[in-house]
Amino acid sequence: MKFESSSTFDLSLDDEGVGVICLYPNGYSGSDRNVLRITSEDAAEDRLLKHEGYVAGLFPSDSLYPSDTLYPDAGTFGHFSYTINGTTYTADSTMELPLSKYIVVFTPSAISIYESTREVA
Amino acid sequence: MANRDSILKLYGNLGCAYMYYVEGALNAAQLAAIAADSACPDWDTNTQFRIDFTNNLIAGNASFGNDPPTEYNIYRVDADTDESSLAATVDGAKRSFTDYAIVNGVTYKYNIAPASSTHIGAMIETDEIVPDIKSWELLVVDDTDDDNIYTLSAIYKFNLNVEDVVLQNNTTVNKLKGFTPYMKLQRDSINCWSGTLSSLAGVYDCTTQDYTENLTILDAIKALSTDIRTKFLRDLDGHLYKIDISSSIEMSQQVFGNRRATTKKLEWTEIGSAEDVQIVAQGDLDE
Repeated sequence: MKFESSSTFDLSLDDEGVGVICLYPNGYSGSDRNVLRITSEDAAEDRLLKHEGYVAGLFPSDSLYPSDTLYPDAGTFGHFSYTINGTTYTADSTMELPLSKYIVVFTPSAISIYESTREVA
Repeated sequence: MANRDSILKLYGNLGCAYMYYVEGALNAAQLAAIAADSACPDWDTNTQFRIDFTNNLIAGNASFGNDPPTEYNIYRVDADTDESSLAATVDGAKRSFTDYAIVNGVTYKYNIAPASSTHIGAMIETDEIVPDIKSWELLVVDDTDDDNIYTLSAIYKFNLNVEDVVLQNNTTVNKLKGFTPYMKLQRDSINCWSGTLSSLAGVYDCTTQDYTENLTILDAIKALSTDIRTKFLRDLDGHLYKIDISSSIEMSQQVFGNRRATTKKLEWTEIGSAEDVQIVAQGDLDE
């Protein structure tokens, strides 16, 4: 018999409650990046938090020759998207994802983010 | 405001420092922790879920805030009668254990209770299972520091070419003659099973469909008769006996050309109660 940790948790949660997650998102390409989802077993409640719209920037190198085909690009920082029971709220990122630390607070009717620079170990 | 049974899923591919969920609104301490960008707040009266990856893993219903489980008490529950018995107590760092003190054909589930020095957590209940063991099994176990708790050392199976098993409970009845036409019966207090077990000594490989036996197997069977360690016997019908070998080991070989098949035969006697015994795998109890 094994009783291992899981990334999926069966819980009894208040549908008017507030969630807080502190995370260090990695950069991504292509599809959006899901962070967490809370669904009630009776299907009455559904919350999905994800990050979407991130595009990595392209920065000139100090030591290489300039390219004729690649141009510097600031990229797009993207935003957190929080959908609760069909209603979506967003909060913009203002920093490069791999350099950032976020505390995301999501309530039944809002999302707020606290953005800071990722600590260097 | 309503509590609902929910499933919370954290997706991979992100570095997560902590996450928690509270009933109603955040309290002052939680708001202050967010504003100060400090560590995950402690478990509070409004906390419904908390997972903190910065202080090992303290999460879910197996934790008490910052006080992680130091041990798990695992109860084996007979699903039909709802009777439970302690199957094992394993260290808080353990994530698995193997229960050998089960009997055949009974529907079990396990209740896992996390505990620390100050708390006992809510039970985690497993799915039901029914052991379906197709042979008599002789379990040789090692003692531990605690009474009635053993770790498994070896299993001897009796499942190939098993002969009929005869059990007797060793009770004798004295027939006393008196001065009436009838005899008086005097019984002794002995009421323990003994019997013989016999089967082929080797192993059968289902892939190659080949029966083999070797010196290691035969020597291990021979060593049983002088092995003083505690032994248990599990039958097909739902019994677990505490036994010892009460005869010499008999081996008879049939020879087929350059092949042979050895039959092992031994007599066993029940020497104690196997009630509430705990038998787990070696290493399950180590910290």
